[in-house]
Amino acid sequence: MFQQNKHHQQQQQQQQQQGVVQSGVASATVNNPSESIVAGNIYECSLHGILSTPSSTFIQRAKGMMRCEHPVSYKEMVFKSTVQSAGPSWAEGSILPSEIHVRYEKNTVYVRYVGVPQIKDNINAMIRNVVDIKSSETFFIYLENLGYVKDYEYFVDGYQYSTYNLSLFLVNHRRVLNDGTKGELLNKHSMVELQCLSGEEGFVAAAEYLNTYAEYLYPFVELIKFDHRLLTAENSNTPTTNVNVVGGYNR
Amino acid sequence: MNGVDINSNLDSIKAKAEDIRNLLLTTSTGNWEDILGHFVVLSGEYGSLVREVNNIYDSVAVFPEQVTGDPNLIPNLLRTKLSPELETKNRDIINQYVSKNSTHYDPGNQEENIPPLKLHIKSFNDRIDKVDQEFENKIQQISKHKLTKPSASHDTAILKDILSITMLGSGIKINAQQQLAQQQQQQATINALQQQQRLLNAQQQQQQQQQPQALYKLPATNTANTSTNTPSSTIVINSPSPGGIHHNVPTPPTNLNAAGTRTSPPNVQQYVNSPPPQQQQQQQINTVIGTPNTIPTTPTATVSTAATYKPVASPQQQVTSKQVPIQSTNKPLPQQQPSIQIQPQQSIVQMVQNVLPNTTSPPVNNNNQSPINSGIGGGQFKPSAINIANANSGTSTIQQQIQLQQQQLQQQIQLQQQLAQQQQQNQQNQQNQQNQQNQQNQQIHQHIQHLTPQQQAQLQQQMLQQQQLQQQFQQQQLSQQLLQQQQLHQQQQPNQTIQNPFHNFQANNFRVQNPTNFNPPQNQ
Repeated sequence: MFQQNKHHQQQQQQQQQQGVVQSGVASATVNNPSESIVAGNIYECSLHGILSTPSSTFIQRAKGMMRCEHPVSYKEMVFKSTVQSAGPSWAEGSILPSEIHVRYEKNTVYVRYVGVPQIKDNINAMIRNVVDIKSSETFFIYLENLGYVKDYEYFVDGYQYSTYNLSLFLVNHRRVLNDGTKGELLNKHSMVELQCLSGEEGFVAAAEYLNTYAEYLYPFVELIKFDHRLLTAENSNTPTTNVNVVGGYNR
Repeated sequence: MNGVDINSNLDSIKAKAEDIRNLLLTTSTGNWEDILGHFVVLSGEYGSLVREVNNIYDSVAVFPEQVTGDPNLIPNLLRTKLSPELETKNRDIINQYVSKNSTHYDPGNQEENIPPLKLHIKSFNDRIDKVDQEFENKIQQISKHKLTKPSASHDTAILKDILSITMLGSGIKINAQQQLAQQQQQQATINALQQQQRLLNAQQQQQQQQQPQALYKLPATNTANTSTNTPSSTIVINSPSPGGIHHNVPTPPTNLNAAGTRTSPPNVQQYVNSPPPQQQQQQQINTVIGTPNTIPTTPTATVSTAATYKPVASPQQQVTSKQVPIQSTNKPLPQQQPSIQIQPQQSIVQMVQNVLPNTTSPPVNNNNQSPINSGIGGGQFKPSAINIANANSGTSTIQQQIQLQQQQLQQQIQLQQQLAQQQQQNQQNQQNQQNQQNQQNQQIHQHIQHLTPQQQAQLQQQMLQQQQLQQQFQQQQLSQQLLQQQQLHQQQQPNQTIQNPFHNFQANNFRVQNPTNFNPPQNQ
């Protein structure tokens, strides 16, 4: 059901069948979800940072800069594929993505495909192809039938500040215990993520937009373009982590 | 020209100067007072000369003639400094000149315009001081709130950790977690079993020291016990290994047919040589506590009886493989589990001591009879009996081996049962505590219902006060925690240089030092 970027025509068909998520970043950017399907692939440009200053001052600044604020709390489950096989017949030549994110939020299932971060040296933002789909509980069964296995999961708690076409997340990540409840914090620091959606042609403008906002947030938090190759390069040295499994970052 | 004496005076001055020059040249170690005296003479002659010349050139020349003070102290012509009177006069004249020049601001009213000018300058300096103070305050606030540029490397490392979790799932992989949990559980169970075995082993060694000659009890002594129908049967076996251990753990009854022959004995050789994978762990434990696994088998006359054993899995083996309480299929016993009443504070050594009195007089039921388990009150050890076929021979080492293995297995079973009972009792204790708390709460509610309305109001007030006090206490704790966090934060980042946006500002550069130096532009 998910395809690579070169097969986005079939992807559009599938999205029209299942509908598009009206949550999170997508809602901040596109008012009418059907328009986004016509526009083509959606790319998420983001900057990341760690909030080391007091959060109260940062929240005041964020409230002053953004239009609305609402809490964010969901459980993110990442399923990895155990088989690398061809997709359905109508999507010939496409392969299933190596991992699928599922956001479980208030008994609602949001399926999320997050692509491999694209490396563009002249654009100061992390660019990833994203597809958000609202689904139901039966999607887990479908995932199992497709050969996906839950790889890891974590809880995300925090706040989202959004304006016209920009979203600022201030979140903490928590471990998932064996009984499915919230565990301890994975890291005591809060992560700040500034996101902006764009089409295939708007990377430069989106990155400039992001960096303009990041300058306003500068004394509180330093938002940077994080190079995901640092993660894979480091984790490939450790034998415990199987890099091939994860998201196809070595491609 | 009445100056008759001018030439003579000039000659005398010249002669005196010659003398002084000769004196200074000849005497290397001259007396300073003597030289000054010569100068005094010279200056006196000069003075008389000047007086005469002064009369002549009075209108054209001015000489600092009128000097006061002792002329002998310093000769007039050797002075390099003006006299004090001249100095004061000079100062006055200069001040007048400066005051005249400083009134360029408004030449009309000299005396009245100076104070407003000074006031203006003073207010200007005060303003500059205030600006300086404000800058310092702002710098302090900035350093207090730490709104500085965070160290990029530190934050990047944290960001890398978080993103490696969210993007790669490092550290929260489900498979890895499950493996870790399983390993921990296995290690915990192994450790618990080892500790139990060690305690039991120590206890048995103590008992062996107390009874060093406790050898294999022949059944002749046990017949008396069987006649008294003691249902419990424990066996003491001197193991063939040098570090012999008494095994006093009850064994469940083996299945017996009507003829009294064994139908399902444990296959000892198979167990020892090729243990099933479920029992490898237990065998490792046995090796740890020194229990002999390799028992020398001596071919005796009773081998033929041992050969009749069928290699059928005994109930003991089934039990150990499943690690559940014993379930005898043919003859279900009324009391499968030994009912040992274990207090929560009771240690394992005490539990073993409760068991021990049975070992002092070990009754072995050797009459091929099915064991009789009569109910005896709790607190007493009531194991199920074991039947040993052909125990009267007393020389069958294979039977000893069988007994040994059975006892080992049953020992482990009993340990697990004891552990389960301990856990049950702990749970019961917790439930009892909860019940007690609930009862206390109910009593309190009943007590409140019986009170008068005034007393109830007082109680409510007291409750409110307590709540307020608790809230205050929590707030204090919160504020303390915040303070500590701030202190920690400051301690963690002490070396960060604060970027002062006003670091180039120096108030002294703008401050007017002296009002006299203040020169506003002149009005032309």
